[in-house]
Amino acid sequence: MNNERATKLTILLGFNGTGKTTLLREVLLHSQQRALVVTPDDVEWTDFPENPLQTRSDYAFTGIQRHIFNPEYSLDAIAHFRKGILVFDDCRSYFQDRTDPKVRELLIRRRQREVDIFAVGHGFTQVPPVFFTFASDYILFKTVDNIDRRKDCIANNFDFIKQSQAFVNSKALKDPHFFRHIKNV
Amino acid sequence: MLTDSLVEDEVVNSDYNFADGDLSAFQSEFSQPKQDMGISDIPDDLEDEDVEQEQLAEVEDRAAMTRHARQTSKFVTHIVDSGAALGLSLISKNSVDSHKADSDDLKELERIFTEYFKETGGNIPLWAQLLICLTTIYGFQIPQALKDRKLNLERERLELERKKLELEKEEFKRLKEAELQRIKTQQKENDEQRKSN
Repeated sequence: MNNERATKLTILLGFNGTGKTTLLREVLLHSQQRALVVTPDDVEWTDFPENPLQTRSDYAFTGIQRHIFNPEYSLDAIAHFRKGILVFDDCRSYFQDRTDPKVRELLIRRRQREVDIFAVGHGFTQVPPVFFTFASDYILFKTVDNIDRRKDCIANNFDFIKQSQAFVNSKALKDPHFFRHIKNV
Repeated sequence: MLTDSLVEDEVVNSDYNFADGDLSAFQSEFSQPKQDMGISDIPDDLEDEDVEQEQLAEVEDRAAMTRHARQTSKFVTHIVDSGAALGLSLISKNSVDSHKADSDDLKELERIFTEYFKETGGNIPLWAQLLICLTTIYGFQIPQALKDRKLNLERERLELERKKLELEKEEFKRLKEAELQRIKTQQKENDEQRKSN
């Protein structure tokens, strides 16, 4: 029996304090895969070792490590990461809307590199459009921005995702940690 | 709320694949092995460490410059935010905190400063950062300190004046009592003299 699965590209969205980082930590810890968390600065994920991704041996780690994004070389370095989970935390801080073609290639080649990807942001507009094009899953906490600005790149289920945003936001009035997982089939 | 129930109804009736507050399906799928592409953890397309030392040195230089730019931009953002908030609070008479930028705005400002410092190579030395920091923290308090000093001197002057008035009042009271005593004695002497006459 073949239990092998395709690699995932999960978009995890939520306003500050909704619990997205806590949830993500749980997923990473239970995944039994190694993970590289890319963060914009050195104040997040401080309980994991920092990895500069500058030598071959830097890629031989196990467990969870973090890489502080450096626009000078990080994209090239991350492209060499394989067999594990890649988390782009607060990705709006280092990816602009006009995303580098290297990011697109990274997303397309994730299957060959055996890499699952998480793109994390405060809202739909805080994750570059190219991620939505290839998304396999969404995890939505409360978000307050306008999903219509991503209408062009959310090819599947746009209306349902929009309804879900409204639903999650209404539930968040009572439970700020409420979330919905959507499989983007 | 009516709108809430409408939203809920629409979602419950949908055929989409989703779960609320539950990641077990996601995690169950996630725990399955990925398709094995026969690759190694360590990328083959990276050169050996000794070969790439020169390139690394260059990358490290650029990385160091970015780190400096980032550190400087953090510092400048903080100073700008504190200074602007203080200035605005002096105008509005609200608290300083009410004029501080939120974390998203600060991040954006910091990002732009980082790009600027990287572009210009601008790097404020630590001693200058310390000086600016001290000036911002204590320098802005000088006008308030001068105002407080004026008020305290005035308070001291008024206190001295009050004490002086207290003493004068005591003295006046004492003189008044002495005068009354003198008048009584005088009257008594007059009465006795009248009787003897």
